Amino acid sequence: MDAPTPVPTADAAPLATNTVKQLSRIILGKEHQIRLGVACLLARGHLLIEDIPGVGKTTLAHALAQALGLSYQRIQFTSDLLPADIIGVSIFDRNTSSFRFHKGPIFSQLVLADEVNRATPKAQSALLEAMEEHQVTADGQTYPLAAPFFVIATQNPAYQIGTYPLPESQLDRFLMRIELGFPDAVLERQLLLGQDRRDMLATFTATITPQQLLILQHAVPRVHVSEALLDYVQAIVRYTREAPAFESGLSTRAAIGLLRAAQAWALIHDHAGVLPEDLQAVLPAVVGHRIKFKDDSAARTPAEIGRLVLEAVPVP
Amino acid sequence: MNHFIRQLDDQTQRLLWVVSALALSLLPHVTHVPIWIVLFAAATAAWRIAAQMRGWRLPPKWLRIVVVVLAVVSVLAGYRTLNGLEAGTALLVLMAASKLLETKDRRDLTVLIFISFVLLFAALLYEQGLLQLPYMLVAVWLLTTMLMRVHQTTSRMAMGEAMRMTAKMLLLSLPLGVAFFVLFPRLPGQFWALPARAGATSGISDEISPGDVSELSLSSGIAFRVTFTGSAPPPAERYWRGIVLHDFDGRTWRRARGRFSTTPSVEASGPEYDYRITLEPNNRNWLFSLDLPTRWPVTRAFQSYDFQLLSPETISSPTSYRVRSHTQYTMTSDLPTMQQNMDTALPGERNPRTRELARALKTEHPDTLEFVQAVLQKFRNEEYFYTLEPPRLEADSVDDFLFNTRRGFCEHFASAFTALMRAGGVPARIVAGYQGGQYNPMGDYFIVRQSDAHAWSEVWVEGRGWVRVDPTAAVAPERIEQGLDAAVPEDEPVPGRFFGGNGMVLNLQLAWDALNSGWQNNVVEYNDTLQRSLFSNLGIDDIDWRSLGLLLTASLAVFFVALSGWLALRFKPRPKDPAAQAYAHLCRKLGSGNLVRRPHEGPVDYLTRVGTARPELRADLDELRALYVSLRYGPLPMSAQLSRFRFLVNRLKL
Repeated sequence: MDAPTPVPTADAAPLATNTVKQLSRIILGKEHQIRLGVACLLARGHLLIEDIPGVGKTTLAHALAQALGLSYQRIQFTSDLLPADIIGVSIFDRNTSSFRFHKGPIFSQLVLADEVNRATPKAQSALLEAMEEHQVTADGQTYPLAAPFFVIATQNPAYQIGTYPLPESQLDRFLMRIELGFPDAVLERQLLLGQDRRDMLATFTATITPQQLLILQHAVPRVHVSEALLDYVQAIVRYTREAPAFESGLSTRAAIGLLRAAQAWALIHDHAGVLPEDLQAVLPAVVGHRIKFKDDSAARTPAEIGRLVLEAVPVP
Repeated sequence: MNHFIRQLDDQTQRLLWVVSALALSLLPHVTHVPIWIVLFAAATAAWRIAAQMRGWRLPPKWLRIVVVVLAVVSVLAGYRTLNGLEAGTALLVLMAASKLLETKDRRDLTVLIFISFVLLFAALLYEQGLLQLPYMLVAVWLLTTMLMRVHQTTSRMAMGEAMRMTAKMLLLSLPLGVAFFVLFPRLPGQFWALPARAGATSGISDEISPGDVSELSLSSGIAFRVTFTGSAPPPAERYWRGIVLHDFDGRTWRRARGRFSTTPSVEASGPEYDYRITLEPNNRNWLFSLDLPTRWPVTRAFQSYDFQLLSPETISSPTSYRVRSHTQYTMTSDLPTMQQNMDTALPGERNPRTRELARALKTEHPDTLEFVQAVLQKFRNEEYFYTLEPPRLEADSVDDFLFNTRRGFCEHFASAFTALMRAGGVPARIVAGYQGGQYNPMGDYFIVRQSDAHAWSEVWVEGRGWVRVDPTAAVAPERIEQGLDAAVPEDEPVPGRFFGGNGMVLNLQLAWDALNSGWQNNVVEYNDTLQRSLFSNLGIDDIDWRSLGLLLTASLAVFFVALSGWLALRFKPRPKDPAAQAYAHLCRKLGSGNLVRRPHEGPVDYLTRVGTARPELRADLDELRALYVSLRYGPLPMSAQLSRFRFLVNRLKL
């Protein structure tokens, strides 16, 4: 690549690669998902990790938070979780004879919402509203959330017992939804032999300073997008809107999200401009939870949906 | 309401659209079919909607068969046939309504919409007036919209959006429709004719009793319209000849039962008038023409011995024909004895005072023309009144009128005059038709209304033949010169008198009539003759159906080429990126066997794949890949890169 780059992406690729490498030491064989997660956060999107229990969802979320060096809080969603448990609560202060607001766990840079679909819709919407508004209103007082503010949510597949699946409109607030899946046999053997992941997390150090994170985030929307690539994005979006198999296509917000994620991916991979391959890499994670099929009978993985869309749209 | 509709599920919504489509196309038929059919259709639609909302089961097959059989039987019972316009329409409406009973899936709904189209167009078999046009257009628009909505599966459109889209579609297809209308070869003859319909007769009837014409004159309905080629005759010569009445029973005049083959030979003089008459349907079989027709379309009409123009069929739809007439004429032959006897006959004992008067006048004036003048003089000088509201007459109507009431309309004067002539031994007969007409400057034609209905006499004068004598002109010359309104007293109900003085209303009326007659003459009546004259105006003489077919095909081709050109222009792709062109060239060069680029394969993936398969090219491919990515997707593509890329592509040896 001999073209000059107007943004300081020179630092971006090594920083991101370093982060990905660190994370890969803890989560074995999931480099693609780790890259997706990092890209998602660089694109300032919220991340949803969905899989059955015990494949490392929470570990990945933890590791991401630690690697990015952010202040983080974990909220374990349960069926008796109340909105106040997330947002905070006003308590009467005897000394000043007035109510004082005690901030909840939502007031941190990274919130890990574990098993988000086990809580009631009421508690879910408290979190999701905060994600959308970047502020919280309690007792008529508005409190801004931290910046940067991320939510990494994990959830169990919807068919498990005792879950309240997130409605489509709320799923849309997550930029990406990724699945982890089982590691392959060799890596699983390593996991069985190796150190406890929780202990490793404790010794895990941040690879990025908050300052660097901000620079990277600012660089993402400036990654060059050519006309040819915009044609490709539009062709994909149009296909999802017109294909008879889909109930509803991608919204404009989803299209923007797709482009931002691709830009973040290009930034991580040190591409001067977004390539069709960058878009293809992030597409399954971005559109998988946004496209609804007419025929709902078969549950489809994001990878399947992504392949369906990608193979139907030629690269212009 | 909108909110309510949005809450319904797709299937119910579609059903509602289709039911409203059906209602839309049934509406013009409400007056044509018996009320029980309308009620049946309404009830079926209501039941079907309720069944949809409540989730009732649709009737089983045997019940549907029973309903259909009952429908056919009741149409047969009502009309004694399944054939013909009325019975056919009734059957179609019944079947459409029954179809609702088994309407389940989208296919059924589509069929119902097509049935609605057929029903809607069937309404054109009844009426093709300009007034129907807006309804038809709107209905076709809505039906097309509903057809589209029934088929819409991907995303639901708002009604307004769908309407806009179909409007655009219909407008786009308009040139095609016009081309088909103008160019489609029209065959001469009755092949395209609408089926004849039994309908009420109107206008001049085939017998006249005192009071008949004055009653007819109360109607402002239109009898026919006349367009002159060249000049029109002066008002006093605008006598529109209809039928000739010979038989008199003392009160009523009737047409002759006998037929005669000898037509007097006519020697015409003065100007010839060339004109086209468009007759409103009256369900009679006589045609009107300016007195006296000398040339007429022989395929459409024949002339009887007393110069009536008769059509072989009853006039059940607007009919137009071209005639030439002379208003000045003499006859050179003699009147055959049989006709002379017929036209001097009077019923034995009736009207004694009339006979007496005629005898007295005839002895005083033995010359026929003087005798005629003497009778007219009597009408003119004595107290006779022209009125639309004549008093009822006794059985001896002529006596009663001449000596008692002395108030009458044209038929009273014509009847009395003709009776006097016959009593004096002069052959005389009554001609019924119209007199006058209103000139419409907007369309340059005359409107002849029922209120222009008129009756006058003809007397046989030795050496001159039949001479028209209008006794009304002696009593009320204004009637002939200026029309009915000027001739009758001011308090009498002349049709249109209320508006007559108002210029704007009159102009509006005339403009509407001009529009209507233009529509009728040029669109509804568009036939092989009009088609040929249209093309000869364009410089193509004697066009035959082959050339028309060719022209039609050619214009279709032009239409579609223009349409696709427009579409191509509208969705013109950006000029292709030179880098993309060179890349396509590269892909063609590389692509063989399983190394063909898959459409969804990005450049990096593809060139890497090729590089893996063809290690000897890898160095070049790596450079090509870097160049292409920078050219196509990079922030600052440089022209040097493009030439290098092209060079590498061309150099690549496989």
